[in-house]
Amino acid sequence: MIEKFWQKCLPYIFVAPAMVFMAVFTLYPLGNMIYLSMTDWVLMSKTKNFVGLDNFIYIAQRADFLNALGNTFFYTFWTVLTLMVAALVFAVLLYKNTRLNNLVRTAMFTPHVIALLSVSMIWSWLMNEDSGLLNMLLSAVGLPTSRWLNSSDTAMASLVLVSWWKSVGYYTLIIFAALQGIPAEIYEAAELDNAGALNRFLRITLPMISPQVFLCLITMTIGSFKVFETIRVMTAGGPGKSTQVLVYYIYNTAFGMQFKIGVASAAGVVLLVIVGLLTMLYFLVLSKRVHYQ
Amino acid sequence: MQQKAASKCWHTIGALAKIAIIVIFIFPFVWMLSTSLKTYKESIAYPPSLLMAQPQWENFKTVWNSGNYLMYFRNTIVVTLSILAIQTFVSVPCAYALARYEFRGSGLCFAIVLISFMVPTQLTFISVYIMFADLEMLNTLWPQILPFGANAFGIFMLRQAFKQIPGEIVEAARLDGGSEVSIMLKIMLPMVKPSLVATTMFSFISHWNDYFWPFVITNSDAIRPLTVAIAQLRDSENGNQWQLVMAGNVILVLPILLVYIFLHKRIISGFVYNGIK
Amino acid sequence: MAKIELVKVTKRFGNTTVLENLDLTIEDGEFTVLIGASGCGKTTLLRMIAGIGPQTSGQILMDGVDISDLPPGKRDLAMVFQNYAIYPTMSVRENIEYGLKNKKVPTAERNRLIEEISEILGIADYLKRRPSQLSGGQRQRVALARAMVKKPKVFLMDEPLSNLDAKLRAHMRVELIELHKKLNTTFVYVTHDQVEAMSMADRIILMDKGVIQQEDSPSVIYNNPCNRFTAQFIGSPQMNILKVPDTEFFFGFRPEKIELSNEKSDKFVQKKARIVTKEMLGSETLYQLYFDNISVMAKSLSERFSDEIYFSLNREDILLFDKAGARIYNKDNRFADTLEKVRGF
Repeated sequence: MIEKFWQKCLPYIFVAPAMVFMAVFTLYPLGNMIYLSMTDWVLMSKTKNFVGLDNFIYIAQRADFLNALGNTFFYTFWTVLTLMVAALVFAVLLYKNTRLNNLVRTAMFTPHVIALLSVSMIWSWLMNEDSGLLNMLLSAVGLPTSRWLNSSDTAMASLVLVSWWKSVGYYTLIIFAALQGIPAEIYEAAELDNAGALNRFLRITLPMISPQVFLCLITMTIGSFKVFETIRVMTAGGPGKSTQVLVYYIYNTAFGMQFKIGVASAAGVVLLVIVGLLTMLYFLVLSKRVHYQ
Repeated sequence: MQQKAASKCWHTIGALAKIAIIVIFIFPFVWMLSTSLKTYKESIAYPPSLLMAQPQWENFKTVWNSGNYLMYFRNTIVVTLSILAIQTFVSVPCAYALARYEFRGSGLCFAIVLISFMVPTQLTFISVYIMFADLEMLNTLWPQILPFGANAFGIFMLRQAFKQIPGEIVEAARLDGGSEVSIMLKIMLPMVKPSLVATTMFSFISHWNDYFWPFVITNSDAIRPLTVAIAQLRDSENGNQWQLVMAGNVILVLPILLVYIFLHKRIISGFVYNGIK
Repeated sequence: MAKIELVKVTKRFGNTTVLENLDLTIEDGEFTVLIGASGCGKTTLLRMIAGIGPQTSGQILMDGVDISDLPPGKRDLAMVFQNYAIYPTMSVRENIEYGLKNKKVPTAERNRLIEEISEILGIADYLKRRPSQLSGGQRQRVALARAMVKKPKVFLMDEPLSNLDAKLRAHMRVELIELHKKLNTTFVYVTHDQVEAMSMADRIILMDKGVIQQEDSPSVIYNNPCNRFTAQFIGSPQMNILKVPDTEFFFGFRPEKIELSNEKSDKFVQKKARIVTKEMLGSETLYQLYFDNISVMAKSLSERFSDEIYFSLNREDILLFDKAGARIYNKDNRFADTLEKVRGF
C-alpha cells in the first residue's frame, strides 16, 4: 500500500524542485509585472496605488516609448531576416564535409561562445570613428569612411551587423545539421525525377528542415527582442535616441533615473505580449507547413 | 576542356571566399589580442599594424590592479559552478519525470518549462530584483545564482534524450528489482550523458558570459563578476585607452577561447545535437 | 517453478479494450507459447504477468497467491525482451549483476552465480566487454544470462529470437529447448512465428483479437484445429478452405495432403486442374492449381508434372467448418451429409 502511494508521489517529488524555481523566478515575476504595470509605484516609495491602464495610456503617448518600440521592431526584423537567409545560404554552401568547410564552420561558430559584452567592445573598437580598424582599412583602399556608431543613420545598422556576426555561425550549424539529417536517397530519387537544383531546395530541402527553421526563427526573435548588452556598451541608446530599444527603455525607466516601476512594468507587459504573439504567429503560419518525421 | 578550366577557376574562387570568411570571423579576436599588447600610441597609429614594437604586458597588470580582479574572477567561478551544480540536481529528476512517467499535471509542468524557456530575464528582472531587495540579499551572491536554479532549456533537452531510450530498458530494470531512483541514476542517466554534458557546457558558457543579469542585480564591488568589472573599465576614465579595454576583454575571453580551441569539435557537436532535436 | 493463473483479467488502453475477462492457466514447468498476429494481445498478456503493464481489472495468481499488487521486481520472474534491453552503459558482468545487487545477494554468492551462468551460456570470455562490442547472438545470451542468474520461478520471453538471422535463430531454438529441459521451469514465450511455436512448445496458446482461439499441444493444434482461424493460422502455406457446394459450410485441406498425379486415381475427391505457378523450395515444391475458377495450393515432393494434372484427396484429410468458422466434427450429425457433398464438388 505504502509502496503504491510512493509510486504515485514520485513524479511529483521529481518535478517539484524545478517547478518551485520556475514558479518563483518566472511565473511569479511575470504575474507581479502585470500587477505592477497597473500601479503607480515608484521604487522606495511607500504608496502603491492601483491606476488601471493609466500606465499603458501614458506610454502609448510617450514619444520615447514609441521610438523604442519602433527601434526594437526595426532591429528584430533586420536581424532575423539577415540571419535566417545567411544561415540557409551558408549551410547549403558549406554542405560538403571537406576540411576547409569544417574550418569555416568552426571559425564562424567562435563568436557564439564569446561573451556578447566582449564582442560589443571589440566591435566598438573596430568601428571607432577616428582610430578604428574598419575606417583605417576603408581609407587605405580609398573608400569613404563611415561614422558607424556615431551617426543615427548608421548606428542601428551597425548593431544589426554585430549581432549577425555573433550568431550567424550558430544558426548555420543548426541548419547544416538539419541538412545532414536528410537521407541521401531522397535527393537521389529527386534527381531521377529530373528536379532542378532550386526546385529540389524549395520542394524537398526546405520542407524537410522546417522544424529547425521554425526553432531558429523563434530563438532569433526572442534573442533580438531582449537585446541589451550591445546597446549598453556600443551606443547607450544613442546617438540621440536612435538605438533605444524596449529592454533598454524598461531598464532605464525602472533603474536608470526615474525608478518608475509601474511604467517600466507596463512596457514589460507590452514586450511580453509582442513576444507571445509573434511566437503564436510563427506557430500558426509554420505549424501547417512544418514537416515532422 | 574549357569547362574543366572554368570549374577549376570557380573552385579557387570558392576556396578564397571561404578563407575570407574565416578571416572575418577570427580576425577581430586577433585584433583584440594585438591591441591589448600595444601602447596607446601604437593602438591609434595610422597605418594600423598587427605587430607592436614591444609587447606591453603591463597593460594586463594595469587592468588587474585597477580593481580587485582576483575577487571578480572568484565571484564568476563561484556563481557559475553553483548554478551548474543546482541545475544538474534540479533538472535531471524533472526531465526524467516529464519523459518517463504519466501523471496528472505533467502537461502543465511541461508548459511551465516551455514558458520559462521562452521568457528572458529581461522581462523578469524588476520583480526578482525587488524580491531579493526585500529579502535583503542584494549584497550576497545568491541573487546571481538562484534565478537560474532551473534550466528550462536543459530540462527540455534532457527530456528529449530520456524519451528516446526504449521503454524495454526501464522495464528490464524494474524486473531486476531496481528502485525508481536507482533506475534513473544508474541506468538512464549514463545513457543521456552526451546530452547532459552538452547542456551543462551550454549553461557554463552562457553564465560565464552573462552580463545583463549581474549588471542589474549587483550594486557593490564585493559581489561583482568579471563581466561587470570589464564593462566598468570602459565606463571609467580609462575608457578611451583601448589597449586597456582590450586587455580586460582578453582576461574575460581567454579561458573560454582556450577551451573552445581545444574542445571545439565536442562543443560544436553538443550545440548541434541540442539545436536539432 | 510455478503455475500461473489469470482470472478474469481485462486490459484497456484509454478507450480500446485489448483483453476482456480472460481466463488462462499456465501449467507448472511447461514451455507455453503464446502465438498470434501482431495486436492480438499476446504481448499485453505477457507484460501483465511481468507486472510492467498491469491489468485494468482481474487477478494474476502465482502458485495460488495473488501477485497483482506486487511490483515487477518482487514477482520472482525474469523476462527476455525482443530487443534484449541490455543496459548499454554497463559491462556484461554489471548487466548480469544488477538484479542480484538489488536482491542484496552477498558479493561472494554473486560472483559464484555469475561464473556459473556465464559458463553455461558460454559468455565467460567477454564479461568485461560493453554491449556495443557484442554480436546479436552474444547479446541474446547476455539477456538470457541476466534472466537466468536470478533463478526465477518463471521465464517470460517476448519474441527473443526475432532479431537474429535465420541460421542463428534455428540454433537458438534448439538451445532454448535444451535450456528448458535442464531448468525444468515454467517458460512463457511470445512469438508470431509458427515455426518457433511448433518446434519449442509443450503447449501452444493461439490468440486472435484478445480471445484465445485454441490451446493444445503443437500436434493437436496442427492436425485437429478447433476452428477455421486456427486451421488457417498454423501451417505454411495455409490450409485451403473452399465452400461446400449447395450449403453454407466450408471444407479445408492442407496443401501437403493433396496427391498430384498425371493420371486419374480413385480417391475420395478427384479433380482435373491446371498448374499456374510452381515454387521450388528445395526439398519440396509448391504448386498453385487452378480449376473451375478456384485456386488452391498444393505441396509435393515431386516436380515432374505436366501442366494439366489430376489432384486427389483422402476422406480423412478433409476438415469441415460451419458458417461461423467452428469445426464440424465427425460425431456431428451434419458431418456425413456435408462430406458427401464435398465428394461431388
